[in-house]
Amino acid sequence: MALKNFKPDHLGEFADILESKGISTYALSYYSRIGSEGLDFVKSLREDGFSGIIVPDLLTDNPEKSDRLIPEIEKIFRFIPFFNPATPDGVIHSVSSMTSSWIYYGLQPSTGIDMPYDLEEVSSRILGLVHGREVNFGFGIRTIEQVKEILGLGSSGVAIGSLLVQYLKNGDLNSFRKFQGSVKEVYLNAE
Amino acid sequence: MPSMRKIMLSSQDTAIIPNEWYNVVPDLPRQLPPPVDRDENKSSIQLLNQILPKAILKQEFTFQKYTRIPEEVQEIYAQIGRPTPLFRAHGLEKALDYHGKILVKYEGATITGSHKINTAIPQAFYARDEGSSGVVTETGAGQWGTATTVAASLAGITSKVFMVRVSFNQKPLRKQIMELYGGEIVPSPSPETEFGRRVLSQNPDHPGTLGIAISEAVEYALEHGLKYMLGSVFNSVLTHQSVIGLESEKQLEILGETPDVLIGCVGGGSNFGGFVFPLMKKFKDARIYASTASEVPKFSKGEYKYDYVDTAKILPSIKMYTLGSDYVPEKIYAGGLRYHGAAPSISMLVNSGRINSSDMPEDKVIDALKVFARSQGIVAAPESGHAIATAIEYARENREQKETILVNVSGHGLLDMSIFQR
Repeated sequence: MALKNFKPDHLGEFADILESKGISTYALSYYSRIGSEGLDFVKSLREDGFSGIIVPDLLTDNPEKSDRLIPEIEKIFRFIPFFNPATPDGVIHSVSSMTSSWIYYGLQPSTGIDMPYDLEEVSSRILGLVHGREVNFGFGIRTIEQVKEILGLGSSGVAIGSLLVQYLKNGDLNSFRKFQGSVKEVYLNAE
Repeated sequence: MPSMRKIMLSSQDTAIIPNEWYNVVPDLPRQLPPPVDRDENKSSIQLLNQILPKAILKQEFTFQKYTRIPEEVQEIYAQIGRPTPLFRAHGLEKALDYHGKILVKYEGATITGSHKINTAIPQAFYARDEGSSGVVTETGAGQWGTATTVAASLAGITSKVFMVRVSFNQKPLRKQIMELYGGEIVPSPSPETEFGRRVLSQNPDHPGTLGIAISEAVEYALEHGLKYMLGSVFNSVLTHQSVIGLESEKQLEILGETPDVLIGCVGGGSNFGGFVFPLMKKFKDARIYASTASEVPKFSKGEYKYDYVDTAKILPSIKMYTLGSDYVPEKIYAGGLRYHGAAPSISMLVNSGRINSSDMPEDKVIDALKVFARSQGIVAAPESGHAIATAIEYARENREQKETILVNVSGHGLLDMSIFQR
């Protein structure tokens, strides 16, 4: 979520409600917020009912901070490692060993980019490297067929952002609900 | 007289040619920052989808450490002179009174006289296989343009090369060779593209830069539905160039040598990365030196930050050491080193301290080329002269150490003789 739209109190309200229903909510924030506010920001998210945080630019833009920061965050709630095909094997091993949560794996190096890749290769790589950990895939998922294929290859779930945001931007709530419903159906069938 | 077995001036053993390329990205100590778009209204990253073959794009972003080299490309590698020689430079050692060993990997032995052909071949063949009728690219010193025109001819497709104007004027032989190989050569900035016309309107005598030529080639490829050939900087190019390091690894094994020091020159970084990365994986303690031109001091005076690959800002922004995408370097003797940035993987390792950098001024490079020519009989390219100069400086400063220095000489300089008249 773009930083300019981030309203912790507002989001916290929803996180609180969802937590009371047994649904975990995870915040996605760029490092700049943690850099400026420190762990107080992370603690406020925890107090608002979030179960963990994803910091997608930590390993790319601030790698020297990760060894100290990840264990600190883990004392408060879950740090969700975000990896993608450009993440070196050694980094995946070391960051995985510092955390115990599920893993967010981007199929593309950046959101909204349509680069060619072999889904089977991509999924077998990460599932092999973090053996036994729950892995959810995101970045570039556009169709229900992709969702079916991803779940069939051993992923625990999918994260869909750009597509649904576009529906919202267009005011197309029907398409939003329809896609959401289809994903849920695929997910239930996969189980 | 030293044993010939220990010299290994050349090898016709094609078994030395690797059948897989090595991609360093999964083995880097940190994650490479991804390319980014800095213009909200257009996606320069999506642009890559239009101008690059899909196979190249896949290799650009792959996590696979090894990629199978297509058999057709392996055969062409043998045809163009691979494996290139790795030899002990006894003459240079004697000239320097060096007590250790100096080994040279010589990419000047390919048919085009430089390492550039190593990536031109697969890129042209992938373009042809995906139905493209031709390829477009830019060239600085002319080595990349030469490699592109040969590769396109071997693949049976057309080629067009935007050549930095200063090199176009200084190196008529390069132009003739590229035309002989079937390429169409245009001095850049040119009136053939909107960007070129804009640059010329501001300065009709603009000497050109690699960044401007890249911008023109990309624009031309887009407008004419052709594929663009990447000369350096990008991961996929460094991956193709890994044949240099992988061959060296096998040749060192045959010679029974372990290098203590690895030295190469850096323009965009493709020969350096291709040479160093496979060896760095095996020889973890080797000290590594990236040699650049003092006139283009990207590592010592540049910043490690996101910057555009090209002057027109058509291609994505990548995190690298850069002097600024609008930097216009001096009209130096080594056109291949006039690029404002360096490959992200190399930049990261310079930034982390794993790779050392060394700026070499023109006088030292010319001297080094003369010493190398007179002691080894090889006229090296001015770009490669930087690596040789760094190796000579290292050998002189560490004469008694008895270390083994391996230097990559990325090309010959037989078409660059004018630099000795300056």
